[in-house]
Formats: sequence, C-alpha cells, structure tokens
Amino acid sequence: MAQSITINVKNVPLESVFPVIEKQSGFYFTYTKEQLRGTKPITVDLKNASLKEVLDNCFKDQPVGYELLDKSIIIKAAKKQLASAVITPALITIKGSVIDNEDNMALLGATIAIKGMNKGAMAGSDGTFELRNLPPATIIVISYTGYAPQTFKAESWVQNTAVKLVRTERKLNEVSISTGYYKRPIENFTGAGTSVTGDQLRKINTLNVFDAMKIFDPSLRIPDNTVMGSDPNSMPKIEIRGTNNFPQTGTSAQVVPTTGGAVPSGADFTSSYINNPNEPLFIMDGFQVSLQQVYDLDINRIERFTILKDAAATAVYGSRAANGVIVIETKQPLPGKLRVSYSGNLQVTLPDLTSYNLLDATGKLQLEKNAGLYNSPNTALNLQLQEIYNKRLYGIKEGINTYWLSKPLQVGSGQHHTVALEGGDQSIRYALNLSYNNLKGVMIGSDRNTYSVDVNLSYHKKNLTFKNVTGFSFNNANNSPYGSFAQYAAAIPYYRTNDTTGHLLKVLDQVSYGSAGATFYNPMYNATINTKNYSLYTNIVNNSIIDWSLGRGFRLTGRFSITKQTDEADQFNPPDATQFIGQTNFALKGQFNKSWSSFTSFEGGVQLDYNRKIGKSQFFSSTGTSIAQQTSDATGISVTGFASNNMNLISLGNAYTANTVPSASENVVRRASFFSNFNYSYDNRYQADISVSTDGSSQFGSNNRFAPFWATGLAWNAHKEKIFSHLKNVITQLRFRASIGETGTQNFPPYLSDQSFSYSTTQQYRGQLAANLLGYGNPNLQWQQTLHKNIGTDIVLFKSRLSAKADYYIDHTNNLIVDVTTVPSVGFGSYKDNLGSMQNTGLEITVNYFVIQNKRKSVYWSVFVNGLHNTNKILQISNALKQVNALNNTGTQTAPTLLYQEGKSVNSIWAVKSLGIDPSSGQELFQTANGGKTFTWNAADKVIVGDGIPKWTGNFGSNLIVKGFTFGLFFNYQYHGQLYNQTLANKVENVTMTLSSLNQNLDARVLTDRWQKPGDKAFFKGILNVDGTLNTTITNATSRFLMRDDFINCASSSFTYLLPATIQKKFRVQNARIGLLMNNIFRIGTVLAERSTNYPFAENVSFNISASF
Amino acid sequence: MLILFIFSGCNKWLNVIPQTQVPQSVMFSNEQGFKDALIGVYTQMGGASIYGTNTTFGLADQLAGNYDNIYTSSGSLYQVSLYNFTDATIKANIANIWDSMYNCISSLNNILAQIDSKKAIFSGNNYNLVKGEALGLRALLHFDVLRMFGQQPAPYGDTTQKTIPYVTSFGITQTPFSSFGTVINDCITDLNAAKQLLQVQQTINTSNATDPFLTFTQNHLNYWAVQGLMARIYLYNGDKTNASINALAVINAGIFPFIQKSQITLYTDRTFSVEQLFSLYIYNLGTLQTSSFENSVSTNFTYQSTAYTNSVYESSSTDYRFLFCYGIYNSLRVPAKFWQDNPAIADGNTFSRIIPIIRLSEMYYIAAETAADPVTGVGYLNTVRINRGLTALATTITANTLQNEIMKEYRKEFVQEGQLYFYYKRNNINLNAVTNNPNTVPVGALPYIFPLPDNEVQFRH
Repeated sequence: MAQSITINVKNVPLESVFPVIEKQSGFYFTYTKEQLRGTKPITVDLKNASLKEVLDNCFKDQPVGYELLDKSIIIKAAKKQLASAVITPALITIKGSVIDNEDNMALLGATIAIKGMNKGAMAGSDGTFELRNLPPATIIVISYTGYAPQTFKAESWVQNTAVKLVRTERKLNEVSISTGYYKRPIENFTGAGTSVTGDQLRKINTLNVFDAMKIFDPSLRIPDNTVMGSDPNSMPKIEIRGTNNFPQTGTSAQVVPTTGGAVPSGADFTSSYINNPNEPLFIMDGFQVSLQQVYDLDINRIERFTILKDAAATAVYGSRAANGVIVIETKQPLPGKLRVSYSGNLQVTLPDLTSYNLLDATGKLQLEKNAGLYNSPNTALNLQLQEIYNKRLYGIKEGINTYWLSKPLQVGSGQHHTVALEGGDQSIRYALNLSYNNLKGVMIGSDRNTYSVDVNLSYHKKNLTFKNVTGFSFNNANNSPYGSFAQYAAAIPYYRTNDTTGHLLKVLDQVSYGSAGATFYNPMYNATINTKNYSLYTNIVNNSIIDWSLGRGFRLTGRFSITKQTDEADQFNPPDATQFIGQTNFALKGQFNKSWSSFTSFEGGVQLDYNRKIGKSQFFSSTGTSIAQQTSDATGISVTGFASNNMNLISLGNAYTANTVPSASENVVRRASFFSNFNYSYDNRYQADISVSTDGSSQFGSNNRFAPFWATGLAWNAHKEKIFSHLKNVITQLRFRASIGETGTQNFPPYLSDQSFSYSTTQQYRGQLAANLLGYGNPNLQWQQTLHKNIGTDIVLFKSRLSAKADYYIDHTNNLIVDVTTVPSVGFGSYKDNLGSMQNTGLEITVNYFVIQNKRKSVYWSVFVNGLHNTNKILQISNALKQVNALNNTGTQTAPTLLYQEGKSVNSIWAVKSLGIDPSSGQELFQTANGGKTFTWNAADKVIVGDGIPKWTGNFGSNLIVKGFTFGLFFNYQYHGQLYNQTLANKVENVTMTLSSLNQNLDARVLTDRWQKPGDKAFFKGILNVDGTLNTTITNATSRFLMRDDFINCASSSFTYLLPATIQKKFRVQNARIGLLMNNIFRIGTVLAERSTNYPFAENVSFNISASF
Repeated sequence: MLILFIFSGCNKWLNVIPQTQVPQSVMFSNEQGFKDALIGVYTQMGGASIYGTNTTFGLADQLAGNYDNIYTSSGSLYQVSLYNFTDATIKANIANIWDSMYNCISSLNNILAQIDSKKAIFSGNNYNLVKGEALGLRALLHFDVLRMFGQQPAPYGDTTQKTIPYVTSFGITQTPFSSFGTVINDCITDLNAAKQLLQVQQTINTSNATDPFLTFTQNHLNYWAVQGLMARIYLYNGDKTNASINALAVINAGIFPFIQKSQITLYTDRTFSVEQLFSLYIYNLGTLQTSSFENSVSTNFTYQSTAYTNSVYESSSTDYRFLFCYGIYNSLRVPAKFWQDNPAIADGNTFSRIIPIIRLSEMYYIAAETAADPVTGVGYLNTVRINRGLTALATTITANTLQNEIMKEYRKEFVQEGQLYFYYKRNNINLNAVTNNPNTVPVGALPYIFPLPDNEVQFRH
C-alpha cells in the first residue's frame, strides 16, 4: 500500500509526530518512553511522501532506529548497538498486554501464537501475557476474533508494551464478561449475562442508573413505586427474573428489632434485604455494596455493568446468588499525560399530573348536594346545613376554584458536575474524581445532594500490580416540608389557600351543625413554619488489590475492602404545625425525631487464577476464598415540647416523648466463602464451565453453618463447525448454551437461628430481673436454595446486521424460610423453618438489527426490542401461610388481599367476580363461587381474577448515528398487565358521604359515571339508592376494578453531538460532546389511575456537556 | 488437616453473639443466668393471660359466679355467665391461657434440659433450689391446666380418658395426650423430686439477703409450697390419706402463722401475706386490678351486689374477710384484695403486688375434709374460723354439714383467687344453686371443661 503522508513540523520532539504519522498511514508505533530518551528535536517538511521517506527523515541522526513489521513501526536501538547484541543469541522472555485501540479495554483471551508452532499464550483478565524461552528470531502473532492480527519479532520486542489491536468488525457484544471475581472471554462463558458499558448507560439516563440499566435487560424489573413515585430519596425495588420469596410474614419471636425511629444505615445490605428479599446482589469492583451505594454512585465513574442471571454465571457467590448478581466496574486510570475531563449536566424535572382526574370546586359541591348532605328533615338543622352550602356556593361564585395539586410542586432544576483527572505511565497511574450531584424532586424542598471524592492509584512493578481506591462521599437528602402529596390530591377545591388579605390560612374552614362539626386544615401551612425532614450520610470506602503474576499463566490476587458509613435522620414538626391544633399542653406541642446509625464492613480475599492455551485447548480457572463482616447499629429518639418553630435543636425540647425509650437495632453478620471455577474450551468450538462454592454464614443455624453450591454449563459455537464454513457470509455467530446449578439466598434477619433470651426492663420480681426465652431457635435453619436451569442461544447473522439472544429458564426455589405453626402445647406458637417452594419460568428475548450500516458515510441506524415473559407458581406453602390466607379471607376487603395457593402465582389478584352494576337498583351484582348471582359480597366467593405480573414486559428502541450526531429513542412497554385500580375505587366508591368526613376531593368520574336513576348503564355504583337514601355499601375487592394495564413509556429520548475533530483540535479538547436527554416524557396506557399516592411521578429533561483536556 | 482446621476456626468465628439478646449458650454459662431464666418464668406466670388475671380474679372467678354484674345481656361478660365457651372472645381467652401455661412449661423444660450438665457451676444450695423450683412449677402449671381443660375427677369424670399432654421435653416434638390419672402421677413424681431437692431450704426468709434469689422464700415455690400443692393434688384426685399427710405436715411444722387483725390494718395486708405458702409477685398487679375493678367503663369492671356478699358471709359483721377485703368504687361494692388504697402506703408496697397461689387456710380445709371423723374435721375448720373473727362451730356436726361448711369457707376465703371454681368442679356442684346467676347454667361437666384451642387440635399429628 502506498501511503501519502503530509507533514510539516519545526523543531518538535520526535514523539509528537507519531500520532500524525499513525493517523495518515494506519501504522502504529511500538515503543517505550525510555527508548526515546536522548532523541533530538526534528524538523520535517514533506508533502505526499511515502511512509519510509517520512520515517527515514524523522530518524535521521537519532540514537534509535525503526523497523516495519506488518502494521507496526517498532522502534529499536540504532544499528550499531544491535550488532553487538547479536553475537550469542540467548533465549528471551517477552511480556506485554493486549488492548482494544478504541476504549483501551483489556482483550482477555487474545491469542499470542508462535508462528509455525502449535504453542502460545493467552492474555489474562487484564490483557497481560508472558512467553518464555523464545529464540530471538521467533515471529509472534497476536490475534483476537473481530480484530486485525499484528505480528512481532521476539528480538525486537519492547517489554511491557501494550499492543493495541484494531477492530475490524462492528462491536456487537463485549469481548469479555466479568463476574466480579473473574473475567472470561464471552466466547467461553456458558452462563447467561448481559454486559453494558458506562457510555451506553449514560446515553439512556444520567439521573437514575437503575432506570438506565433496565433498558438493556428485560429480566431486570423495577416496578413503579406506587407510593413514592419519582421521589429522589426513595430507593427502587429491584428484582431479576421474578419473585423468589413470599412477602415477609414473619412474626415469630425473633425479628430484627427496628422499632420506633431507629433507621438502619443505608449502606447496610442485610437490612435492605429484609425490606426486599428479592433484591439482587450488588458487587462493585469485586466487593459487595448496598443498593444505596449504587444509587448514589456518580454515573460518570461507571466503566461497565454486568447482570448475571443463571447458576453458571453466579455460582461463585454461593449463598448470596439466587436473586441474580449485578456487577459494576468503575473506570481505571489510563497511562498518559495528565488529562482533565469534565462532565456537566443540568436537569429540569417536571411533575407528571396526567393521571389525576379530580373534581373542580363546582363539581365537588354539586356532588355533596346530590348526596343530600345539605338537607335534613330537621328544620333547624336543615337551616344550618343550607347556610354552609350557601357560604360555599358564594365562594365558588366569587371565583374560588383552587387547584391544590400544583401547590406543593415545582419545576425542579438540578445539576451534576464531574471533574476527573488522570494520567501516569506504565508504572504509576493515578486518577482523581470529584463529583457533585444535585438531584431535584418535583415537590418543593425535596432534593438529594451527593458530594464525592475518589482517588485511584495503581502501581506496577515487574510482576506486581498494586491498586488502591479511596472514596469519600457525603449525602444530604431533603424531603419536602409540604408532606405527603396525597393531602393535596385530597384537598377541597372550594377552599382558598390564602385569606383575602393574602396571608396563608392555617384553618381552611370550621363548620358546626347540630351536634356535629368538622375542621379543615391547610396542608400547605406546615411548610411555612420550619418543618424539617432530612437525612445525611458520610461514607468512606477503601479498596486495595494486589496482583502478582506468577508466570506460566498463574496469577495471585489479594483484595481487601473497608467501608464505613454513618447516617443521621432528623424530623422536626414545629409546635405550630396543624397536627398540634387543640393541644393545650405546651409540653406536648412540637416533636423532634432523630435517628443515628452506622455501618462498618470488612471484606478480604485471596484468589489464584490460571489461564493457558495448549494446542487447541484453552484453560481458565479461578480458585479463591473471601471473608467478610458487617456491623450495623442504629438508635432513634423522640422529643416533644418545643417553645417556638425556630427552636429546632433536639436539645430544646421539654422531654422525651411520653412512654418512649430510645429505639435501637443492631446486627453483625459474618461470612466465609470458598469458591472455584474451571473453564475449558476446545478449539473455540466446545466449552464447559464448572463452579463449586461453599459459604459459611453466621445467619445459618448452628447445625448447618456451611452451605455447598455448584453449577455447570456447556456451550457450543456451531458457527465454527466446518459445515457452516460456506455460510460465513450469512452466519457470523451461532452459539448454544445450557447451564444448571444451585445457589442460595440468605436474605433473612440475622440471629434468626439463635435461641436466646431477652431481659425485661419493665418487670421485676422482688428486686430480681427476669430473662425470658424468645421462642424456639431452629438450629437446623438453612439458606434458601434455588435450582437454576437455563438454555440460551446467541445468533448473529448477515455480517453482524442482525443479532439475537434468547434464554429460557426455570428457577425452582426450595427451602423458603417461612413460619411454621406448632401445636401450642410445645410452648410457642410458631417457629422458622425451611418449608415452601416456588417456581419461576421465563423466556427472555433480545433482537437487534442494523437497518443502515454505512461505514463510508458513518451512518448507522439500529433498532432493538427485548422482552421477558415470566410465570410464577407456588409449589408448597407452610401451615402458617395457610392461616394467613384464612385470616385474609374474612371480613370486608376494600383492597384485594394476598392469598397464597399452591399451584397459583404469588402475584395473583383475588377478588369476587363482578357482573356489573344492576341498572335497576344501582347496586353491584356478584357471581358466587358456585355460579349464582348475588348482591352480597362474600369473601368466600373470591377467585383469581388477574395477576400482578404482566405477560410481557420489556423495552424497544432505536439508535441512529450520523457522523457525530447520535439520536436515541428508548421505550419501556408492558403487554397484558393487570392492575387493581385502588385509587379509583377509593376515590369514587369507597367514600364516606357525611359532611364531617367528606373532607377529601374525589375523582371526577364520581359525578359523571355513577349510576343515577333506574335504567342507567353505569360503571360505578349509585350515590343514592333507588329510594333516595345514601348508598353506604362498601366496595370490596371486585373484578370490576381490575383493569388491563398495558403501556408504552418513553423512557429516554436522547440526542448527542460529538464535536468535529477540527473544532476539537482548535480548542485543544478531546471527546467533546453535548447532549440533550429527555426521560419519561410521555406514557400511553390503557388505564387511568393515580399511579402514586405520596409523591408524584416526574418527567426529566437534561442537558449534558463533556470534554477532556 | 488444614481444611479441617480452617473450617473449625470459621465455625467459631461465624458464631455471632447479638447485643440485644443473650444467646442460650451465654445465658446458661453461669449460675445467675439459670436464676434469671427461672425468675423469667415467675414473671411470665404473673401475666394477665394466666395468674395475673384469667386464672385468678378474672375468668376463673367469673365462672365461679363471684361477680353478679355479669349476668345482663348488655354486659361484655354475658357470654361468660352462660358458660358459652364457643363464644369468640372467651374462646380466644381460653386459647390464650393454654398457650401461656405451656409457654411457661417450655421455658422450665429448657432450664431442666440444661441444668444437669451445668451442675458444677452452682454454688451453695442453688442447684437444688433452681431445679427443685422448676420441677415444682412444672407440676403446678400442668395441674392447673388439668383443672381447667381436663375431666372432672372421679366419680364425675372418666379419669382414663386422654385429656392433656404432660410436657417434659423442650423442642418442636409434640407430646401425646395423657389420661387424668397419668397427669396426676406425673405431677406427683415431679413434686416428689422437687421436695427431695428443696428440703435443703426449709426456713422462710422474709427479709433482704445478700443473694436476692434467696430472699422472700414465699414468692418461690418452696419446700412447704410443694407439700401444700401435693395435698391439693391428692385431694383433687380423691386420695384423702395422702392429702391429709401433706396438709398436716405443713400445719404441724408451724412455720406459717395466722394473721392478726392488727397486722391486716397496719399495712392494709389484704392478702394475709404471712399465711401464704406460695404467692406470685406481680409488679404491675395494680394496673391489672384497676382495669378489672376500678375501671371507669362500668361494663368492664366487676363488682358484687350487697345481697350476694351477705349471702357469702352469712351477714356476719365480724369476718375479717368481709371487713377488710372489700372497697367501694362508684358506690358499688368491689372485691379489693389487690387494691392498695391506704394513703400512707407508698406505691411500691409489696402487699399490692402479690397474688396468693397456696395459703395456710387451704391446708386446714384439706385437713378438715380428710379427717377420720367430723369432730376432728370441724376442729381444723374452727381454727380458721376463730382466726378470721368468727365463732367456732359446734363439734356435734354431721359429715354432710361439715362438707357444706367447708364449701362456705372456700367461698369466703378465696374471693379473687380462682380456687372456688375448682372446688365446684371437684365436687360437681350445680352452679345455679350456689351463684346468683339468673341465666340457665348448663349442668354437669359442660361448664367445667375448657375446650382445647383450635391450633392444638388442628396442627396435632
């Protein structure tokens, strides 16, 4: 190939022309800094010259020379020095690493072959390799699937060179997958997992890492938070591949003592699991972290994250693995001159009130009039009622029609800034990351601020690498002083917020009629009087890793991590707050609740890795051990009696709240694990994986301290078979995987298995204190076990245009920890045991297609869709759960209660089948269990009318790249879902229609869609009965309010622009891009329901800018 | 070898001790732990579900007809007066009694399962005391379960029928039901063992000692209480010979004196504390009694009509129990044994915190009932009468009249203590004949046998 290179430099260092030549020639320089020491500045002025001409010019009179080998320009000692070295050709050892030339990622499993010999080495998890005893003339070829191979001569090898391979195929999958403890080339990995880079993540959502993650894998499910909506301070509930547990029912003697105000630290993952037993395991840089730590992590630090789903992928985590594992790797510093990168983000958060459909002032008053609230047969009372009505009507005529929903809301504008410094050389590298993240909520005063500093240092010397990361973060989360949003959805529109002189009202109205009366407070008032509700935490993490390359494919790694977090939560309700109206005792006015907690975690481990290629066989193995301890404690106190709204220090209170003592909780959990994974691949065609692990945990019963787990997987790269060789243009990849294995969960409170005593502080026996036995501690208590079976395939067709991935799984969870009821004569009502089992079966599909793939014009357009279909079945329940069923099946139920039946889904919605509203009476007609008709609701007639888990959930989207422009559009969807429209039932039918209790606003449909007179075909029951009396029948769980809940949510629409090279050059910046992201901007659904109660949902628009200098 | 070492080391490290609770291994590593666990059982027994209300002044006395405001259909205790044990509230209450009694028994069994292997850690007589009291309490609790849930004794009940489980092991293994006779035998076996162990401590200590465990012997199931209990159990089983031997052993020992009138008035000692062989100390008894007898909600508190009180005390105005054991609340006559209204007495006074379980007078009643002839019998009865401010009965008395006089004494003596109901049950008394109950009370075994809790039946295999 004839290059034409143009170069014009004057008196510049030799090194500075290398990028210019590389760019124009496509050749790469291979050298070390040491070699260039002593080189002279050069002056070259050539136009359309050949490569040789240019190089000869540059290296004229230099102490070093060069040699061309394939696509490399290897810098070597000048000829005279070489000559003296050649005399006795000694055998040499070469060391180096192989990386991707674009993203500098280590190419694990890259082959370093010796030409002409069936022998070679393989790059390890950090891309490094070593070949010993080579004759100097040996030619080595470094290759990797999807990359252009490079050739070197052993004698001219520069030690510790990082060989940059250039990609020839469009990137489809990641080249290797990390399980947190070890990495494997994706082609060797038999498990089910999804790996996504931080850049991909940041293109979807820069505010919420979990919302971004769920686009990439349909098995990651984060149901809408129906209580806290888009509250920035509420942690999401996450599950992978369905529900593996019964909701907590446990009330036998031993539960975590979290009474009163003691809130466990946000870093305490043991406590977090108690709230959501289906939560996956989070591993960051090899160590377990809490959901909160991931939530508050600066998204710019994420290098990649990996979701591991089946047993083959997760078995090394043993007793912690059954809910799946999310592995997060943070960016590691790269060598080079000091680089500064900046990433800034401005966000605007808008409330989404589209799901609200409330009555206006006129409608509300009309409804009350229709319900007959202002009439009474008693003349005197009737007059009083009429007066109230007239007053309200007058107000409306005056123009009062308050839209309360908007009162506590704001258009939030937050910001996020990250400054990163990095640099170093082959021996020392460093990075400093500074970040400030200010997430604004849509309720006034609600925000979340995270300040963090991370220092990352790594030191390489010979075979040793030492890495240390220290992170410090401070978080301040404020909740809105306006309180729960539900108060504003309930506030009555015919009241004004301010009096006629403009002052905010404390009491909206006070009515009295006959012997009854009612007072209506202004929910906004408390926000004006120094109400406080916030929490703070400080977190310090230090992770150290020592890596020793022992040669011959062996590597020894030691790691140690220490985390310390202290939390504080304050809640101050000033004495002037509406809840203290009517309280005459000054010592009881105002309340301050405070909680302190702390969390300390140590984790350490050693592991030995081996990788080797012998002939067509590739071996990988990792064996290690780790131990960990977590200590968590929390204390909470409550104080009453504050003199003034401004006296907001806890010490200014009068006394501890009556009949309270400081509440506290404490837990210590210890774990010791041993694991081993062995991976074998023959000729890149057949792969086998075997993992075993043993976990010991202080949470297990004393008779069962150690739990063994295992997994095995097989894979076949069919496309490597000869029969497909003539289809090379059609089939790029055809791969089949199968795995089976058993993992566990220990997501239950610590000390559950201990038989213990507690001392009573309220009783004494003639001066002696009493210790009481706290029930039966089951010494046989075990971890829950899940048998995972997974089969999957990866298909890539038409020169990588179409790629698809499908997995089918059966997860069978056994030994679920449940309460077992005993005969009371044994002395206790119930105890915890391993009973109960559950099965999740599912299918996951991801398809990706490049509609346009034009390399020349740099235009790429891809579309993708993914989906999950999961079915849950309870296989066995305990007698205690059956009793819960019986209890849940009596009395009235304005909401469907959970019932567990073997053979049915744990998410089943139970309600009585409705035959609709009888047009003649306005009453609801039900179908009885044996098919009859009745007007009477009976719990025994309940049947399964729906399932809380939709048939299909997933995401689809499109990504278009035109030169520097990228447009992305990503949607979440749900198909064939069902929802019990609780808020509608509560806001149209389950309303107590009296003047004093009707203090909440209702859904507008209460006026328009309810039955009114005989003959009406209505969806809702009548307000009045046929005889004109108030209809007071309670609406219990009925299939009428079960609604089909399908939706499409525009999760993200993004636009980014990478500034052209010319402009970047002009301003001396790299990777400069600007972006506009819109999250959750619209949603189309089949059901109109108030999606959350205490905090509204929000839409986000954010503007990003990033560059490095 | 190395792996074994690592695993055993890990095992130790993985054994985490919680701070908010004391693990059993730590609890039972010293003598104090055993004492604290035993004291735990005594305080559990003082709970409202059993001796703190239900089996004393609560359900048991309501069933004995001691309160006559419970008969009207508007009252919350109306179903009790009908002996309708299937009523949801009563049923739950009865299930609660069963659960609490066996809960105490399981705690005792837990102590007894551990104590023999730890004998070496005890000093002085403490091993004998802890083990003896635990065995004695196990018998006491089982006997009371039998008196509530079991058959009536012969000849009224079938004593060979399976009735309740006598549980002697700790764990989740179910114990099969035993017959009336077997339960009585098991109680006696446990009590004999207890007596053997407790004989090392026969003196009664009423003051503070260096070791609080050794003080206030009457609040522990002591040597004499064991014998008193044996007398009670033998009599219940119809074994008059042995009942007599044990009752006389207590009487003849002369350890427990009768109370003097001045002693009652001095500190308002309405439970006659010096006469108690065994009483439970209940720290919050004041609250418990207030909610039953001094409650502002009139349907929630129980009182006696003047007519009933007069019929019980035969209109005597000299009977100490009539004079000192009643109070007036809301102008109504309220039984006031546990009511401390003496303004001179501070709240901490112990007389307001003890419920008698076995007292001296019962020993005299047992001696009277089991005496060889009515003349000897009436002698024992007269001793009590004289000490209660009454006159002696004539010695020329028939056996039947004597028995009737004994019953009258039970009615006077055991108000608020629950023993009367069990006297009625033992003698198969027609409740309509002895109470003021205007409702039709079932006759025979029905009002005397509590139904088993649903869970006990449902989950038994």
